[in-house]
Amino acid sequence: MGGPFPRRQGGLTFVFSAAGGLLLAFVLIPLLRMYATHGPEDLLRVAASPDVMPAVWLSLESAFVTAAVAGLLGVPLAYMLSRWGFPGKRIVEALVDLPLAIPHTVVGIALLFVFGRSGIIGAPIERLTGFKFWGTAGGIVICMLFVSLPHMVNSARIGFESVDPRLEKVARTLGHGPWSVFGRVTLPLARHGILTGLMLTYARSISEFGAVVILAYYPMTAPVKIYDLFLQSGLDESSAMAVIFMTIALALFIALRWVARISGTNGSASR
Amino acid sequence: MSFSALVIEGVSLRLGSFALRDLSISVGSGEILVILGPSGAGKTVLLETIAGFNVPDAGKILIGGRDVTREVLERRRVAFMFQDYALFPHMTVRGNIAFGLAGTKKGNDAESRVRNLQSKLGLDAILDRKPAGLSGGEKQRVALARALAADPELFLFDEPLSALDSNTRDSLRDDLKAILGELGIPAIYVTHDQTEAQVLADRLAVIREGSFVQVGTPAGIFNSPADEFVARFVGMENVIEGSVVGAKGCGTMIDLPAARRIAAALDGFRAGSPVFACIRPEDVSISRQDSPRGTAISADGSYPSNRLEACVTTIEAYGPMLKIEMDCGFPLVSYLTKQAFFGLGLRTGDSVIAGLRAESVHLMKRCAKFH
Repeated sequence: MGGPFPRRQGGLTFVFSAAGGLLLAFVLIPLLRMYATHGPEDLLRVAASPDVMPAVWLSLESAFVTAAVAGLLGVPLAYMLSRWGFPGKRIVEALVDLPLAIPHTVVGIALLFVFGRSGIIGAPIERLTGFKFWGTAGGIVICMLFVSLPHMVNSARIGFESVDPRLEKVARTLGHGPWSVFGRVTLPLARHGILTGLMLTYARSISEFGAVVILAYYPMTAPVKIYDLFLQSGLDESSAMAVIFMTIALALFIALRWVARISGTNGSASR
Repeated sequence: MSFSALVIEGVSLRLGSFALRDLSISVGSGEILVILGPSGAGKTVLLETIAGFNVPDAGKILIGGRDVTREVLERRRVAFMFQDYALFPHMTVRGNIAFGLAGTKKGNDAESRVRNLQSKLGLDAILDRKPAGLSGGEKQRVALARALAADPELFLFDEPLSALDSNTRDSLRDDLKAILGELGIPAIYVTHDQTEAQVLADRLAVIREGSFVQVGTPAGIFNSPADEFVARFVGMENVIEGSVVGAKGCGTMIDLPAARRIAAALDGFRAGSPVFACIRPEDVSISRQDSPRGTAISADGSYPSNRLEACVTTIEAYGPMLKIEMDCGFPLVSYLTKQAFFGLGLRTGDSVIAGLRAESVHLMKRCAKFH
């Protein structure tokens, strides 16, 4: 990946560097400004107030469960899309990308029709098992899953596409059935793409607000609680919680990326 | 009747616009069958059908007497060797070989067999390395060991050497020949390279557009190709249209274009019948017009019996040889060694005498479809 810093591209080097720098500043300055407004005692006070830390943990837990579910359901679909030709494949691909194009409040409303108290799936499930999606962690996971599935499926698909089909063929001729070949050859070789998908799913889930606020306002996830604080107590309180949440979420994300990089590079010397 | 390791009976398969057409062939135990053909002739599709990646529309495939036409591929006990060998990049050499072993019945027997194999193939020192760092020869031996660990009844090779540089290719080809000879496991080897075919084949089949055009010994096919396609494919660069004048002594006289006439040491052609005269370029000698008769320099040192006046049109380097293209009313190609070339002092535009021994002129019937 990459190369040396360019030496002989004249003005292009300068203009491109300036444009890139501007973009990075655009991302960093608001975050740094937000961090700068709060001292440690400020943050500790807000962290101690009721509902703040539970909301942070709920966000992290729900995102974790979402990533696990997305992995289990997304990996088979990603494999099918990377390997098989079938009628309607273009439509399936469009469906996978569709959540990217829907406003998240619309996602919340659509999910309400299905998983709400009188929804076509929500109502019978509540009647049979007593389990509710509306206003529960279950509803939060449903929302997160909907908006993050494109990332999971597309990343895993890229992972599978990087695996030479001849490796699977040769594995079959060596006496291994389809499941053994998938588990011992395909999956390990595609793990980089799958891990990337899990990571993106996790990141996307943590940041989800629009759909969650409609299907499951309570129990409050961190983004919902931050919004709630913004309305009830003002900018100071809500931005302090934002700093707490961002710090924990980013630390976790960086740690996960690091773990994934280590397990991703280890052994895949082919790329 | 000798035991056949593989029998293919009337196999047909349609894949999009491509089709295998009613193919039948068998491979004896310990035999290497080379299938030679251009890209898109169906070589790989046929191999993949034998291995079980495709199910034929019609026909039967028997391996070691078992009908495996409908058998799933992991139970066919066929080793498939791809180009570059398709080693598992995430496993060590040991892991690759163990993967082959894991697909078979386990037991102490199998494990000691694999240990023997590893040392026989000289892999003991590289067992803990990953495939990415291995040389071409090491990869080939790892792939063979991995395949052998699964105890195959038949080897299928799909142009394993075609992506390599020529030095590596030559040495791997010789290694492979030696190993296969020692193992005695029958093999089908697919290639478009006539040298590979000639070196490896016990028997040779030429395939075109999903059909076998000619099946026989390498010598038989290289010296007596059945038609113009086979002739050109096995390196008969000179395929000249002519017609039989009549018998002369123990040979046949042929009229070629531009009122040239040559003798061929073959019988059984009727006067007036249209033929192709095929001459391998290495069988065409060149001598100076002004040199006295009998001093022609030829690659094999013998005297030509047919002498044609010709004009040199192009000279180009061709591996260790020089390729001389001449015009003698029709194009004629000759390969000369550098020694012969410099001895003659040839230059483009020179007038020369091209010599063809009557024994080197192969004749085949010319059918209307080649016009």
